[in-house]
Amino acid sequence: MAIANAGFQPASVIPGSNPPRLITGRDALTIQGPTLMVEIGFNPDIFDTDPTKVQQALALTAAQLPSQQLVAALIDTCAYDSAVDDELAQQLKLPLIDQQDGSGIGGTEKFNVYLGHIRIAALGFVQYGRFMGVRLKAGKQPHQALLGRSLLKDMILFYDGRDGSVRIAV
Amino acid sequence: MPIQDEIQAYERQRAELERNHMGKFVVFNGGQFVGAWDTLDAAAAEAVVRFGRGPYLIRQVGAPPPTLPASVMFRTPVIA
Repeated sequence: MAIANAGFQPASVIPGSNPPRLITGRDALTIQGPTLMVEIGFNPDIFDTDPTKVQQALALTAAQLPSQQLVAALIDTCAYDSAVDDELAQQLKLPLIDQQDGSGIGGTEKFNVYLGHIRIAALGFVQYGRFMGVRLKAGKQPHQALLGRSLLKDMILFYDGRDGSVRIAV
Repeated sequence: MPIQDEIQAYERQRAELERNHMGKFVVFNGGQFVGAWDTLDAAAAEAVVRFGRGPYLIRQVGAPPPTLPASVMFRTPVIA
């Protein structure tokens, strides 16, 4: 079974602190939440082994080089759908596949929905994902993506708030 | 054809889609129903091979409107 770490070291130096200050893993996890590095992008050739189909797909994507980026993603069991920073989605030229009214505590708002691949290298996991475009960066959030329950449904999540460790497995 | 036109095409056929393809992932392109698949992965693979970056609509028939996660509403303080 492949396992990835989405938690924090028992103690670590707070980046940029001067003089150096330590933070415990349990406090880091409380503040940041379970965080996993994932690759998000749009690269048709990672899904199909038929070279003819891959060439066809690449030709249709205007012969642009595949684009992807490694980002910090919050494992968000509160969310059904996954989400990606809207600005990042546009930079990566993720295909727009829907626009839907989403509800939250502030009322209803229209969201772009993008298609992208998500790869979790440590798990050997890659699949297409449906990502709501939300303004994470503009809101100064530390994550650029949220992984919702629709993505987590085939995974095992182990969360230990006492020492700040989180493990995810497929 | 912009994504809004694909959404309108979906809405025009919503009743029929909910009768025949409830829970499936459907694809619309050029205002036409393309097909229905059991998973997003399968629908997306077909749409990408046939239509590249689109625009095309991929939507799960009968799925509730998305709920914005509370994590987007309540900003987590950055460790710094």
